[in-house]
Amino acid sequence: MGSTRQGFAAVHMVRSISDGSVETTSLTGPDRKDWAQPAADLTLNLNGVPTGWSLQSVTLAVHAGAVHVAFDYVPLSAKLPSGVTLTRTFALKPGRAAMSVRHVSGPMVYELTGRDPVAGKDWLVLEPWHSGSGYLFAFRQDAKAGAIKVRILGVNPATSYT
Amino acid sequence: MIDVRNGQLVAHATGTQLRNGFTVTAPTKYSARVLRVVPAG
Repeated sequence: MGSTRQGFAAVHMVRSISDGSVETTSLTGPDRKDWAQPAADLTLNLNGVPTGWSLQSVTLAVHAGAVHVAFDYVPLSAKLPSGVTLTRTFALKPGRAAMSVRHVSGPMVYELTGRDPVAGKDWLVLEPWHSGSGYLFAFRQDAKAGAIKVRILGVNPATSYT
Repeated sequence: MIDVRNGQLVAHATGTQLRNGFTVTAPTKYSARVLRVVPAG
């Protein structure tokens, strides 16, 4: 079981990962309200078959005035046909927080929250972490400061990183 | 504090240093920085 922590300043998300199941255990905003509910972050049945997913890669793209962070997964279940993949895309737009999910059978989009936790102004930092290494995505929105001090929460204190 | 430029760590950093925080710069508004963090060696 692992976990990822994403966020910056007053916005903080904690997610647990176990056997391909991902659960958001905490999502707090500037008012310290916890928006997370005790439920799996992703549950997907394909043709009646329950699925579990393993993260393969993370990519970043900027277009149409938004930053898109795409998490690509492959299925853990051998019952699924080969080549099936799942892409979860976080679309980050000034003034709006939303998450869209795409998979092979067609698109479905749902809104994570109608309220932008950083009001389209402050920095946003995401730290997806998997198997001892990870990424840091730092997005400067309309903040005046051109630099920010960031902590990485998934690292081992005794290990050197590059 | 560890400086990051162009999405890369300037030098190796320990986990303790990364936990304490380092500086990420983005010269313009609505820009982004990406950093891949992997164990050295």
